[in-house]
Amino acid sequence: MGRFLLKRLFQTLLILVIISLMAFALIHIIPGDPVYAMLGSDITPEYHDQVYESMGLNLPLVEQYFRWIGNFLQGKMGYSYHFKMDVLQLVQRRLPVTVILGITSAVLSVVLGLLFGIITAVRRGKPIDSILTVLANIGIATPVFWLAVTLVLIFSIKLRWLPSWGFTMPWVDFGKSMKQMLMPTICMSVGGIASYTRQTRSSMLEVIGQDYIRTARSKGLKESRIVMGHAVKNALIPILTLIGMTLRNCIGGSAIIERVFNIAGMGSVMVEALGNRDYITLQSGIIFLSLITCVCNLLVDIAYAYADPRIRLE
Amino acid sequence: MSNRKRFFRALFNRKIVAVALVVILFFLICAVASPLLATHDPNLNDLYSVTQGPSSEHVLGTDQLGRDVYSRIVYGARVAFLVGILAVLISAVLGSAIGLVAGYFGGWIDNVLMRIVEAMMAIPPVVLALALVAIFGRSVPMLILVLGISNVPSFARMMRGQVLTVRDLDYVSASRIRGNSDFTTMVKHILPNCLSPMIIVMTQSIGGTILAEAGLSFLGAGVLPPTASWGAMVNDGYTYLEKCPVFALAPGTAVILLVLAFNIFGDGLRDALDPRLRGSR
Amino acid sequence: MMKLSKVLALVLAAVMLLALCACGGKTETAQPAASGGESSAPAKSDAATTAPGKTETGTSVPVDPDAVKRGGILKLAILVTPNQSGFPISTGTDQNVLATTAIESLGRYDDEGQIYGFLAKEIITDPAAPSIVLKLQEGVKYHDGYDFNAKSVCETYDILLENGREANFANVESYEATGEYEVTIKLKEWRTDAVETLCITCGKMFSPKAYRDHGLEWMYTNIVGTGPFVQEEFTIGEKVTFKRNENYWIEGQPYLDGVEWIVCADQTAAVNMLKTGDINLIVYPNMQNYKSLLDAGFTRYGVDGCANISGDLGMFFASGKEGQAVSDLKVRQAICYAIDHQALCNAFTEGLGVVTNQLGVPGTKEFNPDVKGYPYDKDKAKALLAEAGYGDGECEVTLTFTPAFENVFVAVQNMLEEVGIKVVIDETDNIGDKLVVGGADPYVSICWWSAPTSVSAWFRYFSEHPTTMVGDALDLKEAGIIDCYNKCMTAATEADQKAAVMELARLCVDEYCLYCPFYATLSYYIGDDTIHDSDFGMRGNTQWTPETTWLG
Repeated sequence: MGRFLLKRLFQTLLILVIISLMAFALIHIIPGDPVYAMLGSDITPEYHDQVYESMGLNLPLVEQYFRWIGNFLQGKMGYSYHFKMDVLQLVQRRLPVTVILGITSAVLSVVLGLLFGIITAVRRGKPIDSILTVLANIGIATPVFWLAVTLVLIFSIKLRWLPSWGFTMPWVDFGKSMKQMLMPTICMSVGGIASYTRQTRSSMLEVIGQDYIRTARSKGLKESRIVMGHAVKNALIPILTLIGMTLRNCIGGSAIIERVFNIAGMGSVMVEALGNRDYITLQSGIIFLSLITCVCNLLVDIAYAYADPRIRLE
Repeated sequence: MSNRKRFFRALFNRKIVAVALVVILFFLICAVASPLLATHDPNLNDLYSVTQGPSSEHVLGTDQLGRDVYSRIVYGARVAFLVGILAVLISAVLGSAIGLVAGYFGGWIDNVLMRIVEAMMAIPPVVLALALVAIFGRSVPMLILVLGISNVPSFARMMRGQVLTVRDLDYVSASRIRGNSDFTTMVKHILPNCLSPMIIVMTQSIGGTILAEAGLSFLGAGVLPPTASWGAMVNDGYTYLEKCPVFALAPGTAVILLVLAFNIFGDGLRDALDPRLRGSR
Repeated sequence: MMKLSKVLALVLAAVMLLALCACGGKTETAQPAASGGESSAPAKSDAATTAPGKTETGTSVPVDPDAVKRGGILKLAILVTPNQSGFPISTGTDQNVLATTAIESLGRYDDEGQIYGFLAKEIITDPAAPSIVLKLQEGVKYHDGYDFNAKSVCETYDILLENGREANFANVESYEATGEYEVTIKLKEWRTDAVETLCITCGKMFSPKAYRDHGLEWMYTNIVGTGPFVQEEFTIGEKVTFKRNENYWIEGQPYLDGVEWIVCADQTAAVNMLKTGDINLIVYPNMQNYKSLLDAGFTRYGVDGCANISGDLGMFFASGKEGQAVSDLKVRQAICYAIDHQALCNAFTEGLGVVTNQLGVPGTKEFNPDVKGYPYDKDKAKALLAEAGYGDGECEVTLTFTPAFENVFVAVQNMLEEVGIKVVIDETDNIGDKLVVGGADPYVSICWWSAPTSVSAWFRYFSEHPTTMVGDALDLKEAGIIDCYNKCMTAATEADQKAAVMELARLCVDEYCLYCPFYATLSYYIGDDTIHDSDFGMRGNTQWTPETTWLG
């Protein structure tokens, strides 16, 4: 187990290095001039060059990369010229919002997806199966911003049950926070719920058909115990691998949701930074967001290896 | 022959899959024969009759530039299919090439390729897509490329997993012993065995890709105007949800229907191709 | 069984859509309630036609006439991310509106668009000397306790000069404090835009002490002025909040307890916030949303009339670039003839537009009624193209525009294609609703142009150092346009000036066809009907009066 851990840890580090290279390259290929983006095109060319140099943009790319990475590792993320603050400060403010939203949605996806999956598998062919399958299918086929706008229209503007925008940390005002988070997390988790439902349902059905379940049934065990004890446990393992993916989608896809619900999270930072060619913020933001995904993947892998010893040997 | 028959019977065993196929074919016909089906030029403006409700002249009303919504939906099917299918093809080809090579050779090649793929996966998809759009531009071919690239990692991973399960089977080793080159072995003996899961994943990805295009439109990075695309139409339309509900809802309905159809068809395909699942339904 | 369920899926999808449809329809009737009772039509026309400052204060009769006005927090949505508001010189319109909450200017516009003294009690001009003397208000303090006086005004000017505003001071010989509350500015020559430049554009009085203490970067997000509200919190991308300035120099004002600006990247989110009552006002929503809110019973803040025009929309030709179709005068004219101004104005301004064929707008002193312009005429356009040697579809132009005007220019593209001009839309990306120019060459042949309508603001275009956009125009010196512009600005008599302005309009449009204006729009704000005496949208783009604003 120790060796496995070490190996995965090393791999994660390697991935992060690759990400930093990719992020840097990607962002510097994008056409556009950050100085003009910041100051408008009315400035004189001399002033432009002066600012350009002061931002270190005239250096060779390789040097810029190592300078950035070096500073990054020392905790000096640099100064965001669009957001007018230290990138670290910005990330500290915005990242928790996105992470809380993302993790809540991921958890919601898993919990509801598993629940629906089990229900639909056990109650196969019953009305509840149909209704849940239908909802899951429609949810996954709707453009997410459309879903969000529609939910706001119904629940905020027409019924006035839920606030249409904003985000509050749960420890500041729990009730308000929950109310504000309800619609965004539902929109973000719809896709996840649907795929978990589908996945759980089919693996449950597969497991239920297998011999040892039949044996258990013939031994006269209660149906609920068979489902919970045997079927669910065995259906869970393939689900585990999906979790990393879900989190990536939830955290990485939050830009759209953050826009509709006017939530000041990391997704909106990235979109705005991209529009303003705020290189430093973009690079560091990508690293932070991917770091979370990587760490989650690592945890999932460890959990997986723990649950299924064969993996460790691979 | 009997094999194929069995496949089709399994596929259409459930009527809904047939319905989904009909929906897909319907939109495909729209896409191919759009000039015949459209009642108006999809890009023809009429600034004196903007955002109007349905009428005998305009079946689904007009949009914010007075263009015929029905005709734009019909033409939009072209973009939907082009984007959906071609982007998935691109990611399938690139992704499976990577996955095939990584899985087949193993060792450091596998290590390096997979780390790159995982790095791509870790970058937030929306940011990746937006950055690529900023680089490549917003024309339809470029958007296809962008959406294709963003989806490469999932195909690479899927393919690698498949390759690993068949790599050490006897007939593959036999091919190698017989002196076939690596390339021949990969293409002739491994690839065919990985095709059916790939087709399943491809069908299931088409819907997601169409939705991704709509998402990009919302963020201002969708297909360049005036090209009729459902994503852009949904995005333009929802401002008018109160004033002109048909314009707001019709493109969205088209998206939902087509994506739903592709998803259901993909599921059906999976059930039909995957013998393990056949019995369970 | 599963078959049934999937069929059900489709049925349910249809039902859901129908339900949505119904919701969409129903909300229309539900809206007036959202905006707070009996708003809608009567209230709207009231706010739109009368100057609140004059009528509404007169009608309130309680013992303390100001009692009803006290209290409340004004909440506004701003659609761009403010990040330079504390140094409100080169910032966009929205950020300037925000900065006005806390930073006051030396002068303000009156109903006729003339400038009167505000922080400068009196602005005494002497075109003969030429000089401007500012007599300042006494007893005014900045929020950081620094005294506002002649010395501080000069310091503020110094700081502007240090930070790349030389162009604005190009005509200034010297400025000095000639008394504790008197600043004398000597000009090199008399220019009609001098007062506007020095008292409004560069007349926004932020605290020089704050600048000296903290530096420019700090100033961007710390708004320190003399205004009625003091900044409390400034979080980029989230909100900017202000609280009442207890030591405000006008007795008894301001009335509000605070002002809160909520940053809202997405228009629809802002619309929703207004509908749920979370904010009172949206600053410059796009026309579609403006219209839909107006239809839903919300109130427009702003008046019709020339003093309130926010700017022209049109397009500018890169006439001086080589190898472009638009460097041919005939092609430019053909393009102008192909544009149906009235249709654009009707479809995209929701009644807030005025069609024009030049930079000036009918009714303003810049407008030259003798300019013939290019009235919509497709046949003439085709004929001109043929004359220039282009057959159907042979002439190709590239159109560059910002996302805010996407609809307008897609319509323009359509109009040009109707006369056989091939139009390529520039693929400049606009992620996050922002067009990023790729350096000094932001466009290929035709660029959107949104410009102010007053001559004094045209210096960016026709001065010796024009903006990049106009830098690609035909040689303006040779065409005599720069000379003509200078004549406008330095004319000794009003008659001379008038003649020069008229000539300028003729040269730019009829003679050389440098740009193709579509229409001018009035500035507009939309909100609920609770805001009074705010002057929003009454006098130009950015001016409002936070100190007299009250909610009720």
